[in-house]
Amino acid sequence: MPSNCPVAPVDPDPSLVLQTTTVLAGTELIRFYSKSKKYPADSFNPNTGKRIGVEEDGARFNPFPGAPAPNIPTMYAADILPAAALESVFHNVDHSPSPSFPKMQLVDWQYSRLKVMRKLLVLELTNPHLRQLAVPGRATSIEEGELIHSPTSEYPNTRTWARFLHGSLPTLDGLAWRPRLAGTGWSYVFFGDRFVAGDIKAESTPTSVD
Amino acid sequence: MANTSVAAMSSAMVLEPKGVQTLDVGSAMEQVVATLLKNGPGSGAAYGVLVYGARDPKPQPNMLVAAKTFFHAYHRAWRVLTNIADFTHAGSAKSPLQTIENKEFDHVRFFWGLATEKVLKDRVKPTPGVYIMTAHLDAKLLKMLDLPPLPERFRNLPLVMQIESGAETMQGGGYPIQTSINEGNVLDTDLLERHPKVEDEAEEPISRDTLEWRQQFMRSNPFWTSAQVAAESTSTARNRAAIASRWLREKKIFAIRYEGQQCFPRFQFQDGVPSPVIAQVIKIFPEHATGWDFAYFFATPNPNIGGRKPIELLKSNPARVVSLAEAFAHPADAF
Repeated sequence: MPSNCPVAPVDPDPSLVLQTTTVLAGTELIRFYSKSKKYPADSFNPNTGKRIGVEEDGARFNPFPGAPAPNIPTMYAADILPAAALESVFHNVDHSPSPSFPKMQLVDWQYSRLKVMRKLLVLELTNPHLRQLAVPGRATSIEEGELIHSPTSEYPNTRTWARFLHGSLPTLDGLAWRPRLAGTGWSYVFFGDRFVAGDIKAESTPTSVD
Repeated sequence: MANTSVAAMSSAMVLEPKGVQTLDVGSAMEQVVATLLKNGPGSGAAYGVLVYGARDPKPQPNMLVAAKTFFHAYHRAWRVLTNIADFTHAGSAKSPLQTIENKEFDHVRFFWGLATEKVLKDRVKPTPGVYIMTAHLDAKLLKMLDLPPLPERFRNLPLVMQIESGAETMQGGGYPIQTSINEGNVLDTDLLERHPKVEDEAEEPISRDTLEWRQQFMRSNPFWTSAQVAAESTSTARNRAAIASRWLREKKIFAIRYEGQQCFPRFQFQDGVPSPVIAQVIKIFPEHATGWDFAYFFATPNPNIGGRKPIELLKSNPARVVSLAEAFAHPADAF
């Protein structure tokens, strides 16, 4: 059930040890992204000028500032189409029997297939991994519900966990989680500063959503 | 609304299974409203009533000519009807008489539901044109006449379709008759030219969910007509009567079409002029956005502000409204 998300530790923890998962070279992914911005399917969103504390300025794990300054570029993708769509086009849709969705908003989207060209290290935001993440001032660790199933109003807080994990694990390429509105598939966010051109390649021409 | 007086009408013709009969307008109208009369003695069997204007040549009680006029009118109304999703609470015993009319409907108007004699007299005013009592047209008959059946959702309803003679040339003495169209029904062609999208939207059948949302929006958000915008406006422009269409053209405000009326939600105005934030929001939205898209944005609980509606921030935090509009209009930019 949707709940609040606590704020992550402000400073990175270099002593943090977490078991990461690999996304193998050759893995195919699907990415939903902006049609109007006209950036290539395999380029990262620069998050320029976006504010971590303003809900509508990004999504669950972006924007967040790197150390010391501007926002880390990000890219969302998923291993299967429903997961990719649910975590992007329908990310704002609430948990209700027949949520409404304005048709106008579909026009903004397109999707492309991507191919991972090198082994990537990601952290799965599920248990047991989350049990290793302490919440400041609290006895219990962060929970999947708080991080993934929390509503849009919690984005300023969920983004602090991306900032914390990105800062604490210098070799981490991104985060992985089970889509909020579906139990299957994996959603990913990748950290642009850990990639070089060619690490991820666009495999197809974009498909419009509307 | 129709405002032609009964006196301006010369006569009427009633189409019944056994033929046509010429009647005075008052008596003919009794046949029209009989199908809508609450606890009435039961209506007769008349299919339709043709009301002639004072300036029309005297109609001849010719069955074939009357039938032709009736067929034209039926087709016209049918085309409009197929574009309407549903009448809310149609047929409910509790529902009072309801009227649906729309400038886009080409002078076609629908009355449905049951009402008392007094209400009917007040609301169903005779104007030159054709009245069709659908209850008396069963599917078998329509099929025999090669007339398309009513959409299923409109069958078995107390329903009268009125096709004003602005839409339907009255066939009286065998040649076309020009009747004046009362001013309220003149198509707003000016608007048609400038906002083809708004017009398309009115033509497009909308889902029940969408219709219900729009009804809810109209109930909870006060609005002005263009005349009211002019009256409330503090503008000193020369042509104040046209101020609403000018602001619309200048993209300072938006309008929505509801039941044939152009409506301007009042939250757009402050001290008689458009709030500047409205123009900023309109600029952010894509060209294809309709008035209803704006209405939806402003009046729907927004997850980015904890489920409050952007209209609640219009005065206190217009900059945030602009930022919310950016995210609403370009949702993919977040990713």
